[in-house]
Order: sequence, then structure tokens, then C-alpha cells
Amino acid sequence: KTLRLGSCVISTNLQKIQSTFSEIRDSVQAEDRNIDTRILSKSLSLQDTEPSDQCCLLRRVLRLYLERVFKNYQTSDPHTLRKISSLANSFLTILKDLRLCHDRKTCHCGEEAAEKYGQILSHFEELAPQAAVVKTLGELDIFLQWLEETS
Amino acid sequence: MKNVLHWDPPEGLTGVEVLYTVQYFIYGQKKWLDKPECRKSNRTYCDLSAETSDYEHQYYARVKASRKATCSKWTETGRFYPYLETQIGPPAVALTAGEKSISVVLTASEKWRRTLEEGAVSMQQVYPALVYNVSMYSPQSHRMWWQCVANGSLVVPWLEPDTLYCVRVEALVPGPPRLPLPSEKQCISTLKDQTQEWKIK
Repeated sequence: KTLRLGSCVISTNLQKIQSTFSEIRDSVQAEDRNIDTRILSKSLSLQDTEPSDQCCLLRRVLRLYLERVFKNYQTSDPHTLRKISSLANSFLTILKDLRLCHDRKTCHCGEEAAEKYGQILSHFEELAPQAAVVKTLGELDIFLQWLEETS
Repeated sequence: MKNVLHWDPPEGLTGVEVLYTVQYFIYGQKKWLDKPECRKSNRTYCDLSAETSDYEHQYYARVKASRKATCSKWTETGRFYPYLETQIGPPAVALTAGEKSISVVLTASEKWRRTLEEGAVSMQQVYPALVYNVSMYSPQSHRMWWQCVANGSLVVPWLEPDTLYCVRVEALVPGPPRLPLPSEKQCISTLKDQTQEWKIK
């Protein structure tokens, strides 16, 4: 699948990532008891962001998942751990490709990207740490849908 | 997208009049909402298509049973994401036979509508990346073809004249795996070979 983020164009195996997450989705979402809050709200979506800012917003959300979600999600279930490790590797690959765009100056961080990521982060930090990790992981289907709609 | 909640009656109460109440919740919003048509109802299903028609939101539903003055606890569903979980109905399939080819024209199924006055929305609009998996089978030669088609039409060439072929079509959309809903099998015969006919006369 080709992701078009302004003038940054990368390819990724989105179907594989979606299939991997769908194997743990129900169990992870069942842990999220704060159903009256949503971290990745519709108004912050990638596809509703200026193309020139999409790459930067994507890089930041990918880093949020890598540095604060996958790393801190607590489970004793080996199957879930394997799936999270696979998701993390896929995200690292995408991030590596986006770094090339950054090096080529096609991954501009404008006001919109900063504003939207700021809101995502504040939603994340309003919750208790582990609750935020569980909720953000549970919203991976929303995030992957954002990627689907930028392809 | 037609979204109907189903449940089983409580164990040990078959034949006893039990009434059910359903509520639904839009993920990220603040409170459970009533579905009046499914309050104190004796049916074991509730159509929430209208309530879940914004397919980009995610939803929960819950149901409780009551009998006389007693009430059960709520039973809650998992998080339901219509955009990713909807089963895509098969397209309408129109076949036209030639001598050595068959033309297949496909029309995407439509999104569920509250009323007929509402404009029709094709699933192609909901899922721009929707493609069709066309499979064709010849009962005589047992040969089988598959082809993925993005637009709604396809001509299958190099077929045998005066031969029966059967077609089945399935709509595929990107995203997590979904249960396929193929179309009914449709069969058609290619036309007789005209050149043979002239020779015979």
C-alpha cells in the first residue's frame, strides 16, 4: 500500500498490520473501561490534515506508539506480546522510511501538525498512565484507518 | 450498513415472558442512549442501523432482561466499528454471452438506508478502494478463472463456443479480514460458432 503524505510517498504493508492488530483487538479494547473518552478523535485525523503536515503528524504519532504505548503495555499473554512486537517492528519500518522524507525536506512540521499532536498528547496525558496505554493501543484500528484513508 | 444486535434469552427461562431493554453508546461520548423501540420488548434482537449509521464512529450496545419486578444486570458488547466490521454484500451481476467471450457487468451493493427517500449511497463510495473478485467455472472442462477487477466491468475472452460457464463475484475492501459474502452462482452459455453453421448449410 502506498501512503501519500504531501510530497512524502512511502509504501507499507498495511493489510498485514491490520490483520495483526485484529488478532488482539477485542481483548485489548475490553480492558479499556474509559469508553467516554477517545484519544484519536475524528477532528485530529491524518486525512483531514493539510497534506504538507501529514508526514510530521504521522511521525509523531508513530513515536507515541513506539515510545509510550508498545513499550509500556503490560500483559502476561505471550500471543499478545508477539503481536505487539510485530506491530512495533512494522511501525519502526514506517518511521525509517519517513526519516528519508525528513532528510529530503519533505516532512515539514507546521502549525497544524503541532496543534493536532498537542491535542492527542493532552488526551493521552489526561488519563492514568496504564489506562492511557490501554486506550491508545485499543484505538490502533482508528489510527490504521487514518493510514488507509491517506493511501 | 444494517447493524442488528442479537442475543440469547437467559438460561432456564424458556417459555417464560421476559422483556428486554437495549441501550447504545457512541465511543468517546458521554452517556448511554435509549432505543425506544427496544425498551421492554419481548424480541431477542434490536435493529440499531439508524443509531450506528455514522460508520466512522465506534459503538457499544448493552441489553438487560426484566421479568415482573426483577431486572438483570446489563450485558455489554465489545467495541463495534462498522467501517471495519461491516460485511460487504455481493454486487449485482449481469452476464452477456458472445461466441467466444462473456461480458460481466457489476453494480456495487448499496449502503443501508433508513427510508427510500434517502439518496442511495453505493458501497463503492463508502469504500473507494473496493475491488471485485470474479471467479468463473466451466462445468464441462472443470477449468476455473479468477480475476480481480477495480472497475465494474470485465470481458473474459478465448472461451469455447456453445459452452456453459458459471460466475460468482465477491466484493473485497482493504482492512482487517472480513467474512466474504459471494454472489449467487449465475450461469450462461456462449453462442454457437456461426462459421460452423455456414459450413453445414
